[in-house]
Amino acid sequence: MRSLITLLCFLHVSSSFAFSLNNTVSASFSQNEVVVNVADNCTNLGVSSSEILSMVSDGASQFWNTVSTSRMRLRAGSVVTVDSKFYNEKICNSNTGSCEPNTNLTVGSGVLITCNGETTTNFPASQRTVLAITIPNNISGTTIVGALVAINDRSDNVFQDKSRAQMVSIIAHELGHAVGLGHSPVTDSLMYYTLVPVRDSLGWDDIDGITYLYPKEQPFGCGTISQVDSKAAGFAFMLILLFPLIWFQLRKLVLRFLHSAS
Amino acid sequence: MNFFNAVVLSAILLFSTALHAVGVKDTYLGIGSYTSLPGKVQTNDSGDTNGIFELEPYILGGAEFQIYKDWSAFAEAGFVKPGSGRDPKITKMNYFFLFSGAYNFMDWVFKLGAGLSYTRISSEGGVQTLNNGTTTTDFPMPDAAVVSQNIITTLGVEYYFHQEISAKLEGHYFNLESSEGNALSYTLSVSYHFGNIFDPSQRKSKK
Repeated sequence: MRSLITLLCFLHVSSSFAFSLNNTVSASFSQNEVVVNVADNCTNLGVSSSEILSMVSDGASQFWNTVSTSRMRLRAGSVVTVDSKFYNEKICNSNTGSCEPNTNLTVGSGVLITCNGETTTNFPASQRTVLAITIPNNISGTTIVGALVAINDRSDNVFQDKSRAQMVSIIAHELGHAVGLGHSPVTDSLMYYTLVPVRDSLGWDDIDGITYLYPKEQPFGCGTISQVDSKAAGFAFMLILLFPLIWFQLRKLVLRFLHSAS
Repeated sequence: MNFFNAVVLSAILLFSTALHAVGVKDTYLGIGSYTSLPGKVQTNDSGDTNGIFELEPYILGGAEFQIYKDWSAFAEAGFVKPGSGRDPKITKMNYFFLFSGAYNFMDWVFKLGAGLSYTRISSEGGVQTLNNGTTTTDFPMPDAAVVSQNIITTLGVEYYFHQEISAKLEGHYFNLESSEGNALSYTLSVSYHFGNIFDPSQRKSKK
């Protein structure tokens, strides 16, 4: 795996310039529709897995699915049963600046939201206010195949104290990480590292970031990220449109010249 | 390519070819302001959103083609001044190519059309050290340019307050065919009309 994953996407409940990414290869999902499933293993969040799934749907429609220049759409999948490892094991084998994903928790496709109560590495007492850890833990080249969102399920977690609207924005923030975004340094962005008093819509950093990773390709979209280091697309299109104009005007000038010459 | 996009693109290309065949009636250049997603983007931590008018300078150029009596058609290109986000390492640029059918009524022109809108986002790479949980992390920045290409539907009205000068308000609607990702941006512009620059005998606009 060429990608070097550098993220540990915590969300902290206390108090952060442009969008950033959570990996060094600008990885993104290849498909336009990314399905988000929720594991049925939460015990301390105060909300059921089906309610979390409902929040996924709300977060998608309120935030990420509103971006007109992005091809990516999040879809709420279903409540699923997963191995107990997803609850008990650490997310990263090492946490020193970058994350080496625990291969036991590799997500086969899409996004999996799980609860996690591992209190030694993931959510120790000193970090009980951390709401979740998210990592695209199945990356092939520059394609995210699967991503894991692990919500802090300690008995004294702070997620359970949030309002539903806050929970929706927290989950939407984590889904931003799951699809490849890092944090934003500005408070108006959903990808700011902590909650803000009011979160109603995306900020410019969010919109620019998701557009960068998932650019719309109408009318020729093929479902893959296209990083174009030129203005060739627009220029080519303009040439196509202008060709008839140039042709007809040249033809007219030539005919006029021939007529005057004769 | 879905059916809607195929129809729109085919219509644009056929329309373009047909228009060029009938000849240019007028050409024009203009300046204006492009307002993207008015009222839809959060701008602070209190939930306020961007204004319904924002000054993003743009230039435009285009041509009008005579179709039949009061009906004409327009081909136009617009380029929004490239700007940086909050971080100077990020550069964002919008440009678009539009084709409209139009009805001329006295000094007014009513336009309906479609086009392609491009959003180009680029960055030089590097990292940002940002808060992350209880510590900080170096988050990578993008190191390439990406162009997002959208089919848009346009609706506009133009008023000629002088034979050679007009003002125009035009909306750009994104993703008309979808129930998601719908968005409206608009332009306010002033144009100077040169008439038919290819035929000096019809030098000036006939508005």
